[in-house]
Amino acid sequence: MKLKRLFQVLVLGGTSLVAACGGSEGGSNNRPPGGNNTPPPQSLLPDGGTPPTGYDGPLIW
Amino acid sequence: MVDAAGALIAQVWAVRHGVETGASLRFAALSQGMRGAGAPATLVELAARASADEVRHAAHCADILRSRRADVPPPETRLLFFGPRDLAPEQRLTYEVVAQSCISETESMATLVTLLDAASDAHLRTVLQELARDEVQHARLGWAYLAWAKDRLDLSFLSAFLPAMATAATGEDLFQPGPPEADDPALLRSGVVPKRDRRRIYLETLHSVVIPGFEEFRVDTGPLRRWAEDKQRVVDALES
Repeated sequence: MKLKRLFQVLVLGGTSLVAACGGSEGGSNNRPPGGNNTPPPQSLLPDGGTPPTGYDGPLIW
Repeated sequence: MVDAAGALIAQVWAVRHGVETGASLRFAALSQGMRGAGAPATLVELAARASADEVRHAAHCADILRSRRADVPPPETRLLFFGPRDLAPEQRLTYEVVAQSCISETESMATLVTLLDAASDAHLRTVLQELARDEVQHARLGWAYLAWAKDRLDLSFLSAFLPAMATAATGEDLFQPGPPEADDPALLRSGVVPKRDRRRIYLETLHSVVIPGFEEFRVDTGPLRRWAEDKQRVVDALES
Protein backbone atom coordinates (compact mmCIF):
# COMPACT_ATOMS: atom_id res chain seq x y z
CA MET A 1 0.00 0.00 0.00
CA LYS A 2 2.81 2.41 0.90
CA LEU A 3 4.65 1.54 -2.30
CA LYS A 4 1.53 2.23 -4.32
CA ARG A 5 1.40 5.64 -2.66
CA LEU A 6 5.09 6.18 -3.43
CA PHE A 7 4.39 5.44 -7.10
CA GLN A 8 1.64 8.05 -7.08
CA VAL A 9 3.67 10.68 -5.25
CA LEU A 10 6.97 10.21 -7.07
CA VAL A 11 6.18 8.99 -10.59
CA LEU A 12 2.79 10.55 -11.19
CA GLY A 13 3.76 13.57 -9.09
CA GLY A 14 6.83 14.09 -11.24
CA THR A 15 4.88 13.77 -14.44
CA SER A 16 2.32 16.31 -13.29
CA LEU A 17 5.14 18.66 -12.32
CA VAL A 18 6.08 19.01 -15.98
CA ALA A 19 2.45 19.49 -16.94
CA ALA A 20 2.19 22.25 -14.33
CA CYS A 21 5.18 24.12 -15.75
CA GLY A 22 3.92 24.15 -19.29
CA GLY A 23 3.51 20.57 -20.35
CA SER A 24 5.98 18.34 -22.11
CA GLU A 25 6.49 21.15 -24.61
CA GLY A 26 8.81 22.58 -22.03
CA GLY A 27 7.19 25.72 -20.66
CA SER A 28 9.76 28.39 -19.88
CA ASN A 29 12.78 26.47 -21.00
CA ASN A 30 16.41 27.42 -20.89
CA ARG A 31 17.52 26.61 -24.38
CA PRO A 32 19.75 29.43 -25.57
CA PRO A 33 18.31 31.60 -28.34
CA GLY A 34 19.25 30.70 -31.87
CA GLY A 35 16.41 28.52 -33.08
CA ASN A 36 17.14 25.60 -35.31
CA ASN A 37 20.50 27.00 -36.35
CA THR A 38 22.01 26.38 -32.92
CA PRO A 39 24.24 23.28 -33.12
CA PRO A 40 23.70 20.65 -30.46
CA PRO A 41 26.22 20.85 -27.61
CA GLN A 42 29.16 18.44 -27.66
CA SER A 43 28.50 17.52 -24.06
CA LEU A 44 25.85 18.43 -21.55
CA LEU A 45 27.85 17.21 -18.58
CA PRO A 46 31.03 18.89 -17.39
CA ASP A 47 34.18 17.31 -18.74
CA GLY A 48 32.54 13.94 -19.07
CA GLY A 49 32.72 13.39 -15.34
CA THR A 50 35.02 11.01 -13.53
CA PRO A 51 34.69 7.37 -14.53
CA PRO A 52 33.32 5.25 -11.69
CA THR A 53 36.47 3.11 -11.59
CA GLY A 54 37.30 2.28 -8.03
CA TYR A 55 33.91 3.24 -6.60
CA ASP A 56 31.80 0.30 -5.50
CA GLY A 57 29.80 2.03 -2.78
CA PRO A 58 26.06 2.59 -2.87
CA LEU A 59 24.21 5.60 -4.24
CA ILE A 60 21.21 5.01 -2.00
CA TRP A 61 20.40 5.20 1.69
CA MET B 1 23.77 -2.58 21.83
CA VAL B 2 27.08 -4.40 21.38
CA ASP B 3 30.14 -2.64 19.94
CA ALA B 4 29.94 -4.45 16.60
CA ALA B 5 26.46 -3.05 16.04
CA GLY B 6 27.62 0.40 17.11
CA ALA B 7 30.45 0.25 14.59
CA LEU B 8 28.06 -0.89 11.90
CA ILE B 9 25.68 1.99 12.63
CA ALA B 10 28.55 4.48 12.40
CA GLN B 11 29.69 2.90 9.15
CA VAL B 12 26.22 3.24 7.63
CA TRP B 13 25.97 6.93 8.56
CA ALA B 14 29.49 7.49 7.21
CA VAL B 15 28.51 5.87 3.91
CA ARG B 16 25.40 8.07 3.81
CA HIS B 17 27.61 11.13 4.30
CA GLY B 18 29.48 10.09 1.16
CA VAL B 19 26.26 9.33 -0.70
CA GLU B 20 24.91 12.80 0.09
CA THR B 21 28.09 14.72 -0.78
CA GLY B 22 28.48 12.77 -4.02
CA ALA B 23 24.85 13.38 -4.92
CA SER B 24 25.31 17.11 -4.32
CA LEU B 25 28.06 17.22 -6.95
CA ARG B 26 26.00 15.19 -9.41
CA PHE B 27 22.84 17.27 -9.01
CA ALA B 28 24.80 20.48 -9.61
CA ALA B 29 26.17 19.00 -12.84
CA LEU B 30 22.76 17.67 -13.84
CA SER B 31 21.25 21.12 -13.33
CA GLN B 32 23.83 22.58 -15.73
CA GLY B 33 23.21 19.76 -18.16
CA MET B 34 19.45 20.29 -18.07
CA ARG B 35 19.93 23.98 -18.70
CA GLY B 36 22.09 23.17 -21.72
CA ALA B 37 19.47 20.72 -22.99
CA GLY B 38 16.77 23.38 -22.77
CA ALA B 39 14.78 21.70 -20.00
CA PRO B 40 12.09 23.71 -18.21
CA ALA B 41 13.46 26.18 -15.68
CA THR B 42 11.50 24.42 -12.95
CA LEU B 43 13.55 21.25 -13.46
CA VAL B 44 16.85 23.13 -13.71
CA GLU B 45 16.08 24.89 -10.45
CA LEU B 46 14.89 21.69 -8.79
CA ALA B 47 18.21 20.03 -9.57
CA ALA B 48 20.17 23.02 -8.28
CA ARG B 49 18.10 23.00 -5.10
CA ALA B 50 18.69 19.26 -4.73
CA SER B 51 22.43 19.91 -4.82
CA ALA B 52 22.11 22.33 -1.91
CA ASP B 53 19.75 19.96 -0.06
CA GLU B 54 22.31 17.16 -0.22
CA VAL B 55 24.94 19.36 1.45
CA ARG B 56 22.50 19.95 4.31
CA HIS B 57 21.73 16.23 4.49
CA ALA B 58 25.44 15.45 4.70
CA ALA B 59 25.69 17.89 7.61
CA HIS B 60 22.94 15.96 9.41
CA CYS B 61 24.83 12.71 8.81
CA ALA B 62 27.98 14.34 10.21
CA ASP B 63 26.08 15.55 13.29
CA ILE B 64 24.77 12.05 13.93
CA LEU B 65 28.27 10.60 13.53
CA ARG B 66 29.68 13.15 16.00
CA SER B 67 26.86 12.40 18.46
CA ARG B 68 27.98 8.77 18.33
CA ARG B 69 31.62 9.85 18.80
CA ALA B 70 32.42 8.46 15.38
CA ASP B 71 34.71 9.98 12.77
CA VAL B 72 33.20 12.09 10.02
CA PRO B 73 34.72 11.05 6.69
CA PRO B 74 35.92 13.63 4.19
CA PRO B 75 33.28 14.60 1.64
CA GLU B 76 33.14 12.89 -1.71
CA THR B 77 34.99 15.18 -4.10
CA ARG B 78 34.78 13.09 -7.26
CA LEU B 79 32.07 13.90 -9.74
CA LEU B 80 30.99 10.35 -10.46
CA PHE B 81 29.03 9.55 -13.58
CA PHE B 82 28.13 6.02 -14.51
CA GLY B 83 26.85 6.07 -18.07
CA PRO B 84 28.90 5.11 -21.12
CA ARG B 85 30.86 8.04 -22.48
CA ASP B 86 29.99 7.19 -26.08
CA LEU B 87 26.29 7.96 -25.68
CA ALA B 88 25.00 11.05 -27.46
CA PRO B 89 24.98 14.11 -25.14
CA GLU B 90 21.23 14.08 -24.47
CA GLN B 91 21.23 10.31 -23.96
CA ARG B 92 24.10 10.58 -21.51
CA LEU B 93 22.37 13.33 -19.56
CA THR B 94 19.18 11.28 -19.50
CA TYR B 95 21.11 8.21 -18.30
CA GLU B 96 22.55 10.13 -15.36
CA VAL B 97 19.25 11.79 -14.43
CA VAL B 98 17.48 8.44 -14.52
CA ALA B 99 20.20 6.67 -12.52
CA GLN B 100 20.28 9.39 -9.88
CA SER B 101 16.62 10.33 -9.51
CA CYS B 102 14.41 7.57 -10.94
CA ILE B 103 16.41 4.78 -9.34
CA SER B 104 18.64 5.97 -6.49
CA GLU B 105 16.45 8.71 -5.04
CA THR B 106 13.26 6.72 -5.57
CA GLU B 107 14.78 3.74 -3.78
CA SER B 108 16.09 5.96 -0.99
CA MET B 109 12.57 7.25 -0.41
CA ALA B 110 11.37 3.73 0.35
CA THR B 111 14.16 3.35 2.91
CA LEU B 112 13.32 6.70 4.49
CA VAL B 113 9.64 5.76 4.78
CA THR B 114 10.66 2.57 6.58
CA LEU B 115 12.95 4.47 8.93
CA LEU B 116 10.31 7.10 9.66
CA ASP B 117 7.85 4.42 10.66
CA ALA B 118 10.38 3.02 13.14
CA ALA B 119 11.96 6.21 14.47
CA SER B 120 11.26 6.80 18.16
CA ASP B 121 14.05 9.28 18.87
CA ALA B 122 12.66 12.81 18.40
CA HIS B 123 15.82 14.30 16.86
CA LEU B 124 16.31 11.41 14.46
CA ARG B 125 12.66 11.61 13.46
CA THR B 126 12.97 15.34 12.74
CA VAL B 127 16.03 14.74 10.58
CA LEU B 128 14.37 11.90 8.69
CA GLN B 129 11.25 14.00 8.07
CA GLU B 130 13.38 16.80 6.62
CA LEU B 131 15.27 14.37 4.42
CA ALA B 132 12.13 12.64 3.22
CA ARG B 133 10.52 15.96 2.33
CA ASP B 134 13.51 16.84 0.16
CA GLU B 135 14.02 13.39 -1.33
CA VAL B 136 10.46 13.39 -2.66
CA GLN B 137 11.46 16.30 -4.87
CA HIS B 138 14.77 14.69 -5.84
CA ALA B 139 13.00 11.54 -7.00
CA ARG B 140 10.20 13.45 -8.75
CA LEU B 141 12.82 15.36 -10.69
CA GLY B 142 13.80 12.24 -12.61
CA TRP B 143 10.26 11.27 -13.52
CA ALA B 144 9.48 14.88 -14.44
CA TYR B 145 12.56 14.98 -16.65
CA LEU B 146 11.45 11.82 -18.45
CA ALA B 147 8.01 13.37 -18.98
CA TRP B 148 9.71 16.33 -20.65
CA ALA B 149 12.33 14.31 -22.54
CA LYS B 150 10.00 11.65 -23.98
CA ASP B 151 8.90 13.88 -26.86
CA ARG B 152 12.46 14.88 -27.69
CA LEU B 153 14.40 11.68 -27.32
CA ASP B 154 13.76 8.00 -27.99
CA LEU B 155 13.91 6.62 -24.46
CA SER B 156 14.15 3.00 -25.60
CA PHE B 157 17.96 3.13 -25.27
CA LEU B 158 17.48 3.16 -21.49
CA SER B 159 16.17 -0.39 -21.37
CA ALA B 160 19.50 -2.19 -21.74
CA PHE B 161 21.15 0.10 -19.19
CA LEU B 162 18.62 -0.28 -16.37
CA PRO B 163 20.35 -3.32 -14.79
CA ALA B 164 23.66 -1.44 -14.64
CA MET B 165 21.90 1.50 -13.01
CA ALA B 166 20.24 -0.78 -10.46
CA THR B 167 23.60 -2.40 -9.71
CA ALA B 168 25.36 0.93 -9.29
CA ALA B 169 22.64 2.14 -6.93
CA THR B 170 23.12 -0.71 -4.47
CA GLY B 171 26.90 -0.86 -4.65
CA GLU B 172 28.73 -4.13 -4.19
CA ASP B 173 27.59 -4.88 -0.66
CA LEU B 174 23.80 -5.18 -0.53
CA PHE B 175 23.47 -8.62 -2.10
CA GLN B 176 26.53 -10.04 -0.34
CA PRO B 177 26.35 -11.90 2.97
CA GLY B 178 26.73 -9.67 6.01
CA PRO B 179 27.66 -10.14 9.65
CA PRO B 180 24.85 -11.30 11.97
CA GLU B 181 24.52 -7.86 13.56
CA ALA B 182 23.61 -6.38 10.16
CA ASP B 183 20.22 -8.10 10.42
CA ASP B 184 19.47 -6.94 13.97
CA PRO B 185 15.99 -5.32 14.06
CA ALA B 186 17.25 -3.04 16.85
CA LEU B 187 19.27 -1.16 14.21
CA LEU B 188 16.08 0.60 13.16
CA ARG B 189 16.13 2.64 16.36
CA SER B 190 19.43 4.15 15.21
CA GLY B 191 18.20 4.97 11.73
CA VAL B 192 19.58 1.88 10.05
CA VAL B 193 17.46 -0.64 8.16
CA PRO B 194 18.60 -4.23 8.79
CA LYS B 195 20.33 -5.61 5.73
CA ARG B 196 17.80 -8.37 5.15
CA ASP B 197 15.03 -5.75 5.07
CA ARG B 198 17.06 -3.41 2.84
CA ARG B 199 17.29 -6.14 0.22
CA ARG B 200 13.58 -6.81 0.42
CA ILE B 201 12.69 -3.11 0.28
CA TYR B 202 14.99 -2.55 -2.67
CA LEU B 203 13.42 -5.33 -4.74
CA GLU B 204 9.86 -4.50 -3.70
CA THR B 205 10.39 -0.86 -4.64
CA LEU B 206 11.80 -1.89 -8.00
CA HIS B 207 8.71 -3.99 -8.69
CA SER B 208 6.12 -1.56 -7.34
CA VAL B 209 7.51 1.88 -8.15
CA VAL B 210 10.55 1.92 -10.42
CA ILE B 211 9.52 -0.66 -13.02
CA PRO B 212 5.94 0.65 -13.32
CA GLY B 213 7.43 4.12 -13.58
CA PHE B 214 9.53 3.20 -16.59
CA GLU B 215 6.57 1.43 -18.12
CA GLU B 216 4.63 4.71 -17.93
CA PHE B 217 7.21 5.93 -20.45
CA ARG B 218 7.05 2.74 -22.53
CA VAL B 219 10.62 1.77 -21.66
CA ASP B 220 11.07 -2.01 -21.96
CA THR B 221 11.69 -3.22 -18.41
CA GLY B 222 12.44 -6.83 -19.35
CA PRO B 223 16.19 -6.53 -18.60
CA LEU B 224 15.50 -4.88 -15.24
CA ARG B 225 12.89 -7.50 -14.35
CA ARG B 226 15.40 -10.26 -15.13
CA TRP B 227 18.03 -8.47 -13.02
CA ALA B 228 15.54 -8.31 -10.13
CA GLU B 229 14.72 -12.02 -10.54
CA ASP B 230 18.43 -12.86 -10.39
CA LYS B 231 18.82 -10.80 -7.24
CA GLN B 232 15.77 -12.45 -5.71
CA ARG B 233 17.46 -15.82 -6.23
CA VAL B 234 20.55 -14.43 -4.49
CA VAL B 235 18.38 -13.27 -1.59
CA ASP B 236 16.63 -16.65 -1.39
CA ALA B 237 20.01 -18.38 -1.23
CA LEU B 238 21.31 -16.00 1.44
CA GLU B 239 18.24 -16.53 3.58
CA SER B 240 17.89 -20.29 3.15
